[in-house]
Amino acid sequence: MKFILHVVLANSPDAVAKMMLTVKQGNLAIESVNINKSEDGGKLSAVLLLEGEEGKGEWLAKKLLNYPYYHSTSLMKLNV
Amino acid sequence: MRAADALVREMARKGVEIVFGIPGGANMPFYDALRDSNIKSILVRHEQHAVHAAEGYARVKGRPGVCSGTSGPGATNLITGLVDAYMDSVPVVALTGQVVRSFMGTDAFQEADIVGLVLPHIKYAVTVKNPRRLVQEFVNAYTVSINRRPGPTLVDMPRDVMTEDVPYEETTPEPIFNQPLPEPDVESVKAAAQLILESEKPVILVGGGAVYSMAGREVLELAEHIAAPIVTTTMGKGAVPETHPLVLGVVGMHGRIEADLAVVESDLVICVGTRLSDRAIGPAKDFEKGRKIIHIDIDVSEFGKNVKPTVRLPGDARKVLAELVEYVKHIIPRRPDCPMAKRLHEIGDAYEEYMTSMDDGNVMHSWKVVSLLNEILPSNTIVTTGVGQHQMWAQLFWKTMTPGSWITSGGLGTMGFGLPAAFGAKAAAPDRIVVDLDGDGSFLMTCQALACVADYQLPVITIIFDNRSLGMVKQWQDLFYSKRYKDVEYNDRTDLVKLSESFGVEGFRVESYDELVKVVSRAVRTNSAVTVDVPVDRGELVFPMVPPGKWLQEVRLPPGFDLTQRIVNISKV
Repeated sequence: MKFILHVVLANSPDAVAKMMLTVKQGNLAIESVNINKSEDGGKLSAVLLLEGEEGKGEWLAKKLLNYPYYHSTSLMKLNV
Repeated sequence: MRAADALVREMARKGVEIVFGIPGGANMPFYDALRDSNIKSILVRHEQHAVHAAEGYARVKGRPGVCSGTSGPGATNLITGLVDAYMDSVPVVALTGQVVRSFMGTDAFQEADIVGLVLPHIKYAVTVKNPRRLVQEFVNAYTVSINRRPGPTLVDMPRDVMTEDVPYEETTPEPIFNQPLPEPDVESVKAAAQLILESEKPVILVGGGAVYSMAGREVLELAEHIAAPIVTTTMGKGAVPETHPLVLGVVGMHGRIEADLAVVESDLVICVGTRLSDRAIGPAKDFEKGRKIIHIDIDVSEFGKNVKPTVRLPGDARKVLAELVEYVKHIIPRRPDCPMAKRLHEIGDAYEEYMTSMDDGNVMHSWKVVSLLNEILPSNTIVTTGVGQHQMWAQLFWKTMTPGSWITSGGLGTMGFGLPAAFGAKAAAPDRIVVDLDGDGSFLMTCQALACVADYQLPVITIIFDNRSLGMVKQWQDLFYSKRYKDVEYNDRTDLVKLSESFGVEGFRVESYDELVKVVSRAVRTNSAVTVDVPVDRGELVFPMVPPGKWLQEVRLPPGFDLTQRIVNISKV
């Protein structure tokens, strides 16, 4: 199953690294990752196109919010 | 004042009593600041011990344990302990020294990217580069370690950051580090109550989350009202008193037979604060088949991770259960009896009788050692364990009565956990008896912690189940590798009594149960440290055992013990 995850995160390499490590823990494959600085510069906005087992996208979106690097996540499942 | 002084002042304000650690070049300003405070520093012999001791302290106190190491190897030695704390959701704050900011990224002496190294297995880690942020980052890390699902955090402090002058002011956590708890919606609570109403054989499965939230009273209230047996995970042991007639003990790979069968027979499992690991429930697809599942957890990412719940109830276990109990009482009359629990207890009793009948008196048996200790030690004794066969015997035969009295490495399975964790537990509760039930393999991994036991006069009783082997590995080679033993046996040369005495802790080797009782009773009476080397049966395997990847019903019992007839009876309950 493919899905898009949008993450608003702290502007730090640690936050980016932990996000990608959590993707790895979810055994998810990466199709694309785009990360940009937000308008105010204090945060990053990441859009990840991922593929993996059903349920893992939901898990990732919720898991990230356990860590104080991540302000919000939103998940969109793709019918492909 | 120096940032290090401000940090220590804030730590004291937060109620930090003890820092377990080792000073070095990079965390020296922190130790220098500690010298002028009332916070006690405990000098351990290896940084891994510092984390395990902080874990033991945290699990007894219900508040974060604090540990420290210097940069490079001091910090990397913390990693095993931090991953252990992450797996078992233990609140620990690690404070590491780091090389000065201008040297960072130059492969300087004792430089390691500790934040990068721990990131996959930590709730939060940060290198503080702005001295004015040091206190704030500590407060954030301290808070987040206990916010929602507990876990370890790390604050990495470059030496020159700690020595810069900063103003001190009392600090509160930034909002993202102190988020409100999730709560279940009313409809989900109603749906859960309805599932309970419709179920004929509900079972309550209690995990470590119930221990942390002190949900024991609510678990018992629900169980008694609906007449449901209670089983626990390894981490959930102690959430409810194990002598309660509805409590069947630990479930899973090396669970009590009665607990495993309870889950097999159930048509509804109410899971409280558990991540439903393979070790506890076997394959998820078998667990899901033929039964409804209510899952209560503070970490909403656990819902559906391993098992798809029928109803999910997010939130603190105690609060959610209290709400659920209210609803249940409204729609379900109190059920008077639990024949299933009674019948299963009979099976558990039969297992123990069988074990007793197999004791020919020629060798000492680990399970009997645990049983005896259970009889002679005070009921509020804190027990820690290493990892391996002795740990499984302990979870099978030790009856834990209160939350935080059973301290074991459940998730990571860290050999060597027992002794430093016991030391940390004793530091947290000097007036209680603390016993480390250890294997000889586990003991030899962290035995230097005995030096601290002697130095700080925090007497721990260490019982070594000495089979001169890596017993559990040997058991797997026995059962699954056609007895092709490889690198699992130790020589007899290492004298564990002399080893203990070299650290300043009295040691005994006992050859009988009577001697064991005598030595331990004296240590309890005099509140003194002792190491007891107990030579146990070298060939004994731990049963029950559910083979890896198999469903609980496929549990292997001790050879010669046949339960077939009883299982037929159970299905009629």
